[in-house]
Amino acid sequence: MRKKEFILIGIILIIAFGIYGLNIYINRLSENEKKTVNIFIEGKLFKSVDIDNYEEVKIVTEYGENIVIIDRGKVRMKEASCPDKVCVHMGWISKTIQNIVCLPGKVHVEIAGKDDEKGEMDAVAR
Amino acid sequence: MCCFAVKSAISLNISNAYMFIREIELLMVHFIKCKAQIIILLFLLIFIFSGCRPENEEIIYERTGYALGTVNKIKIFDHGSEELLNVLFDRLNDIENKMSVNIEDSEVSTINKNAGVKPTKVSKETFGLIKKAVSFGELSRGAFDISLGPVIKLWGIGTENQRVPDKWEITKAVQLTGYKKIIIDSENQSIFLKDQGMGLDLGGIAKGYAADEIKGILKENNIKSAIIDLGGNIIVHGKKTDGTEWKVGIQNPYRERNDYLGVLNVSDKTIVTSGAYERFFIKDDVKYHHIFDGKTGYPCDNEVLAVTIVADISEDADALSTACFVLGVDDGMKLIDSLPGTGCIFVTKDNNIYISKELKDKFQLTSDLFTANG
Repeated sequence: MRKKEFILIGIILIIAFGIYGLNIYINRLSENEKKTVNIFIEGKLFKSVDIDNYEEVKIVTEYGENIVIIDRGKVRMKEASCPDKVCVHMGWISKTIQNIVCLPGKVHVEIAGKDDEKGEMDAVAR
Repeated sequence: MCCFAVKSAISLNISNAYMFIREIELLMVHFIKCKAQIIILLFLLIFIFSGCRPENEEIIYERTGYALGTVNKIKIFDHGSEELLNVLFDRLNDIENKMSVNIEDSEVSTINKNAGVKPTKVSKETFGLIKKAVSFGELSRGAFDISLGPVIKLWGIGTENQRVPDKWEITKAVQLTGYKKIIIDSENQSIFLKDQGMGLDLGGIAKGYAADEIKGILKENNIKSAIIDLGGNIIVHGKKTDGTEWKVGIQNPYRERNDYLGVLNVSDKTIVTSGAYERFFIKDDVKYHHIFDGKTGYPCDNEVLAVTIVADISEDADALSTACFVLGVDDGMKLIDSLPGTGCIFVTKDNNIYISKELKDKFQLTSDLFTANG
């Protein structure tokens, strides 16, 4: 009877440690998650692309045309039909705190995930 | 192959845990006689272990959306919900619908249409904001002026119609400005612009007001940690969930967006920047930006490249950032020093940075392109 009890204790302990280990593992995984580029139209998600890929995304809306380029770790607005071209002048971005906004085109680009560097800003006043 | 790997993993696990289990076994033999107790205890162990995460974080609720002619980001670090985000963005749209000059039937558009004709009765909040804006006009002796509508419209910076107007057009538009010609009637809660062709533009204060409103709703909902970012107008509400202060970067005027020249360590403050770099166009090698000098009708041309205000109320900071940009370093600094709880950081065209007393120990310069001055 006692021996059976010990086996039971052992099994439960193994399950407990197993779940604990799995938890840590899953948390690690999500921390090292790859960064993705999210492209929004009028605040709604239009497309997500892995930032390490190369892709040209063409966006045609009633407000105009934009071309976003994702190039192995960085993103920029290549072309835009808006008059001010603020979005094109912004150049490449690569950090999660950065974003590209085309106000006339109602398109904005964000980077989701975690940056490698520590000491990142919570916000930037501009 | 796969099966083998799993088997060996299990056996490894068992042998690792073996020593530990032995120890517990010995203890159990001594102290526990009842089987039920053991099982309860062990299930408790399971719950403790499986519920324990390395970083025990609350769910962060954040949303980015368009309103007030810009991109707005709200990030709630405690007790947030999707419903609350809906309420906040509805509020932003509500403010835009009342105060935008780009919406034809907004209250401000109606005031402008009735200029020189009749007073317009408006909502309590639009009335209050205009009244406050005019008081900032007086405080800054016209450096901040919400009646620059005709000048802003003429230049059209950031729109399809942007151009360098003729001199006579600018002179004519300047004659239609002046905050002293805004008649505020508290009894009837109405606003009247004296001359036909006059026009208000609340672009220099509405975002700040909206940010304060959002903060108010967050407070009502018992939120203690959040960031409100309305197109670069920042409110850091409370402290970070780990109890430390927020780090807010100040935009480097020469670099791409969100590349900062220094860091402010603050909590429960608003940070608003006015810069010549955000909205502009270039014609014949001359840069024309969106902050106008009401006296000349041209984009303000002094030593200032950007100015950041740190304050408690975002509405004030928004108006003061424009005022200080137009006033320049000396007069701007004097104005800020006269207001308790308010600080500023000037960035000038010769790459100097001037920091007010309030902020000396809160600001860290991180870019070696600039020189900090007292």
